[in-house]
Amino acid sequence: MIDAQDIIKNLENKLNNFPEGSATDNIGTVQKNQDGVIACSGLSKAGMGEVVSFEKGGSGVVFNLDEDSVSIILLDENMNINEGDVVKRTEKTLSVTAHEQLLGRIVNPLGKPLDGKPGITKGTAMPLEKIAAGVVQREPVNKPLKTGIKSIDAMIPIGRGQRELIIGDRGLGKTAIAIDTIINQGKFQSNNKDNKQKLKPVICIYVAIGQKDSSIAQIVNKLQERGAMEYTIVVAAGASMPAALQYLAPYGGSAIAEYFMEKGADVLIVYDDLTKHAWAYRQISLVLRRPAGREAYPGDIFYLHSRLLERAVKLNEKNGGGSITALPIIETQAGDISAYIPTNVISITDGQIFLEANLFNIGIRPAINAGSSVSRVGSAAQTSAMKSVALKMRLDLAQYRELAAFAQFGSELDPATQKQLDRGQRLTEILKQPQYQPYSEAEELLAIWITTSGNLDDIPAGKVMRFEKEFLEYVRLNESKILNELSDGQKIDDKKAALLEKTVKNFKKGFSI
Amino acid sequence: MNKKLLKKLAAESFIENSLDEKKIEAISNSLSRKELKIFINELKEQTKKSTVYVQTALPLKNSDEYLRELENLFPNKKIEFIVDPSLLLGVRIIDNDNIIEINMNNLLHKMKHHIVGAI
Repeated sequence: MIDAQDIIKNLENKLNNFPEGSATDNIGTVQKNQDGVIACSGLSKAGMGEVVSFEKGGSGVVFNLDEDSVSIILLDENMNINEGDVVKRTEKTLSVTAHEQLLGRIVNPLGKPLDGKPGITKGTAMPLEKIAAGVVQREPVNKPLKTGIKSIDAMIPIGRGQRELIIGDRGLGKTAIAIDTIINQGKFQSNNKDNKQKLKPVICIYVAIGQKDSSIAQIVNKLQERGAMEYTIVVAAGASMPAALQYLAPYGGSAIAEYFMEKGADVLIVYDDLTKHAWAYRQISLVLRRPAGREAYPGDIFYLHSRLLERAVKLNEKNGGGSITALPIIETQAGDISAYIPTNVISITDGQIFLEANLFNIGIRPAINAGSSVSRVGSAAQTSAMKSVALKMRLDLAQYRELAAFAQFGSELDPATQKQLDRGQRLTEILKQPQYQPYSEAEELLAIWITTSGNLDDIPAGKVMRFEKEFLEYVRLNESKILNELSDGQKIDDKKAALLEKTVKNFKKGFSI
Repeated sequence: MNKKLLKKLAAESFIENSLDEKKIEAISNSLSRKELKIFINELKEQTKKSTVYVQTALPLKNSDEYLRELENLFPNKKIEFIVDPSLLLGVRIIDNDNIIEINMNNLLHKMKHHIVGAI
């Protein structure tokens, strides 16, 4: 409780800094309010993107400058704006107050708390719109961002500072991959001793755009359950929020990410999802009567996403060495990746994780289509251990897919082909992974190595998942030394391979098919 | 008739910063209801642009002297004095969409905003 003396002292301090002199304001008058867009006369000095305040309370942002009027989009919900109301310039652009206090919080795109806790009082005002770091300030991606998902870390590795798109139809597990990745970052927090590769802790930002409030609550609960909210910030612009806030959400998240990055931290930001973001922008543009183009999107829809994703960056050591890794999500309709927004975002990002309904329906989860998924820069950040096992796995899988297509036409196969098919089946099985159970790199290496080394060839394909689960349990309990050795990221040499072979043999003795 | 033309008509309806009633009557008789609405709005805008409103808390004693000063400050504009007791003390000058506030009301208002959060 603050006492009277403190209040008086605070007031005195504030009044000492009170600016003197006359005030000059540039004002406007509301002419009409159409679908949340206010047309205003006056405001001749207002700039594009400037925040304006209404005399009755509430604020908006200038979105169009016409000859006689300006168009303003409202930033507050339930604002009662009438014709003739006075609007004033603030001479400020949109910004969000960022601070470490935001960790564990749920905020709206302008930093206002949505979790019922007090607002953030101190911090740095970070502009929502900012030009991304230039070429001189950047360096190539060189540190891995572990997702904890075997198939991604092995075949489609993501590096810190990369932009990797997650794309697929609804209900195929796009958000699940992003959430698993956030949960997995718990392994790299400063208090974790298992972080042998000395990877920096990752701060996570989850931006929910146009989602149901119940879905956002579910995700937050899941993150809380797994202890991931300690290093995560949720920026939420739900489906019930104005389109303006949904449009601003990813920029708000990006501004917060930049605050941490400028302090040298590594940040992971998930945009869930950019399809709804494009819808919100299309809605605003149509109401503003901007010319509509393909699929009724405005002409600058590509720039909308490119300027956002360009803010994902790996800074060089001279500039603090921080990074922002972006995982944008795009929802496709009936697997059509050639639609307008998917092709735009595919061309902007450094690779994509493509989820397929067919794979999901036959029980391959995560339903990643290894053929269409690609990571253009992440392999540079892979550890040599993962590189060595992943290379063999990728080859085996590619051969399996080719042979599986031909095998459908004939019944008799030579032993070599049959062996290749069997290996492929086991590889497909081993890459299945339950939700919310991210693996450490050592566990991923073990699981892939036992398959590519042929140790699973005598295990029926249907039992592979059980074998893997029990084997990892066995290693954790009896041979934790192996996990320790594998976690340094060094290549699996002959000595390590011999030790692994011995461990698998010992385990098989007690494993009943 | 398009908006641009109506705007031009509104601009031509003034003689020395005052409305020319004859011209306005002639123009308004030839306009449709929709055009008339735009025309009236444009007239309002023009009036706003060509007039400077000087609001004071109390009636001015030497208003002629102030008028001359203000006419020098805002050439080619009509100066109109209005008494507004809500200002408490001081003056507010409204020139189209620019407002110059030198009054107690605004000062107190600004002060209130400035100290919010201190308590």
